[in-house]
Amino acid sequence: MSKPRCYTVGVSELTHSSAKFTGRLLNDGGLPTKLWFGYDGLTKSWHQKTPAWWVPEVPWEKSYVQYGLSYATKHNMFCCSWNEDGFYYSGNHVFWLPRPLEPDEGSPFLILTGSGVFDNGTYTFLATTDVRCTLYALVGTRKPYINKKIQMDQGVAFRHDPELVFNWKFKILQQEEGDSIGHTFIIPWEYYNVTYWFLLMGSVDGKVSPSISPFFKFRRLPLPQLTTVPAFGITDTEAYIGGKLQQDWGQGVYLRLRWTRYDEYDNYSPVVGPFRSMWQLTEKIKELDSETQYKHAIIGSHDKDMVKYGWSQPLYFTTEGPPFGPEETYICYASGNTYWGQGRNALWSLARQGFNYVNYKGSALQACIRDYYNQYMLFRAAVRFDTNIIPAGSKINSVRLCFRSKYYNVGGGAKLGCHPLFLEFNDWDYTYSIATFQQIVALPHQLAEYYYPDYTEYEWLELDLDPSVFQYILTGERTKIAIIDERDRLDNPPGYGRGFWMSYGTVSFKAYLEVKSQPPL
Amino acid sequence: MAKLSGMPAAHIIQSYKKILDFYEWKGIPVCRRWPRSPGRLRNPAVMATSARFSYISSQPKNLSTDLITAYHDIPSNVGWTWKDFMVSFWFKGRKRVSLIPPE
Repeated sequence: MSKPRCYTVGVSELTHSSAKFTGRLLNDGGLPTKLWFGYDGLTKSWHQKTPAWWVPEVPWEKSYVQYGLSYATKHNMFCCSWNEDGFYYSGNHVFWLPRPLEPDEGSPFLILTGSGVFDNGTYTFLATTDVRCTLYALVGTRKPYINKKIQMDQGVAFRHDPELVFNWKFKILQQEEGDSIGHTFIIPWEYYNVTYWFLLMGSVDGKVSPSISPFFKFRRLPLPQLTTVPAFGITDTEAYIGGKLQQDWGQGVYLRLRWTRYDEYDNYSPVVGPFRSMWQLTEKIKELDSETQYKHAIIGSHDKDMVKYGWSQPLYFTTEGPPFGPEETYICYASGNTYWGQGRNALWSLARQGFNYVNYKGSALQACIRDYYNQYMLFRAAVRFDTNIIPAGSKINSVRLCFRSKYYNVGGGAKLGCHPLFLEFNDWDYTYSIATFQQIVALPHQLAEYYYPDYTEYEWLELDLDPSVFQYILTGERTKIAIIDERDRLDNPPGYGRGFWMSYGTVSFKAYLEVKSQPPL
Repeated sequence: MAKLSGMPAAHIIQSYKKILDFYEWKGIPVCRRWPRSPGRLRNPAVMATSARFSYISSQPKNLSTDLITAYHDIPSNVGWTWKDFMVSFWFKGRKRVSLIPPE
């Protein structure tokens, strides 16, 4: 029995980070023997060991590829063996690993154009290069800074080329596949008011290009807060801006039109104005679209070249009108004086119920009322409603006309429904045909049997007026309404009665207007 | 190049114009032969670089306004113009910029 003997064959298959060790066991001394390699390197100066192997036979040659070496320093390698009688270390081999091969450098590229647009949540950047290449973008939120490299040598400062430092966060590959002239990058952004920086790098023909692009940046501003101009009198079709504009009047006013909500960053129409008078401004505002949001700014100047004075803080507004309060419901009863008109057949009472037993002695108007025995005519009644309880300037949302009606056609002639009915308002110009027979007369049980009856009982009707007639509901003063048919159109408007109907009226049957409106603030 | 014990007087330097070149190197006054142009035939690598430099020097007129603005916006307080950055980034931009990856 004796110590084993081994032999270091050598090192082969050198790369910049690995080497193949080879050793041979010459004699195991008649005992079970282990074999391994020892080496040292750059990172750890003491000897390292490979795994140890039991020797199956003698002689036995073993090769092992060791990774994790460095080409920056020299290495020692030797073969070791062991059995119960002792260790044996063979000769030491010194070797150096080759330097890694530098990859072939690709051609440089130059960015010729580069511009980007904001999309929905992303920033699309388009670039063109002078050669075909494959690019990727390194994106970060920190501004690249310059690092002046200074080397102190024996107290003397040596200034080297400046070095740019860039902290990048994520990498975006171009959308195009392969080398191309045009390059598209879709860069997601997350935060408003944060500048994103990015630069482009890449390869040409599969080889890394030494070139980079300059630093590009983009910054998404938050949406401007839409505020209401302290204005009054703004309606859907016509508006004029008071308040602040009037204070600055005489200084010149610019209006800038904003076309869509998502273009407010820099896409404005050309500047219009300045307006030197309220009339000029009013004429311009008449052209505005109520569906569009606008932006205006004021500058103080008497000069045509007003831009050099800068813009004031811009205000945004729509032409929807001045701010209104919450919606309220107003019940506007018929007021004391009842208007009468002339007509022929229909009998409509907006005022009250029991007029047909009135022994009528006279009238302020000719032939508008018949006597007790010939009571089939009461028509073209006009009633004045107390809409003066609605604050002036209110925005009317809905109007419901509630009244009690009866129809007589005792004398024959055209039946109910043969002629379209009209609502007439204050001006009596007979132009507003806003209701048809079916819309006004809600008498289903009678209509089922007699579609064109000669006679109807009293019915309580509630007629929702069309929004197109809201403009005739006067706020702050009383409103006159009449129901006529087309044969009642006369050249003269109805005149005054003396209000005697009211003396017979009962409140429960009194006609009224139910107006839902928002008062101005 | 020869090290000198001290920089000679200005009129002496002037008298050796186009013969000797006096300057300071690392704070040491030195003297060398007056530099001469090597002529047209240069080292092949230098000639190749010259051709590339000629190409990149002709490119600024092809750049868009946005690109020029981007070169202008490069943070610099070392007296480089935007054309300097353009040429430098084109030649060896990867070595000019130290990229710090995300942690």
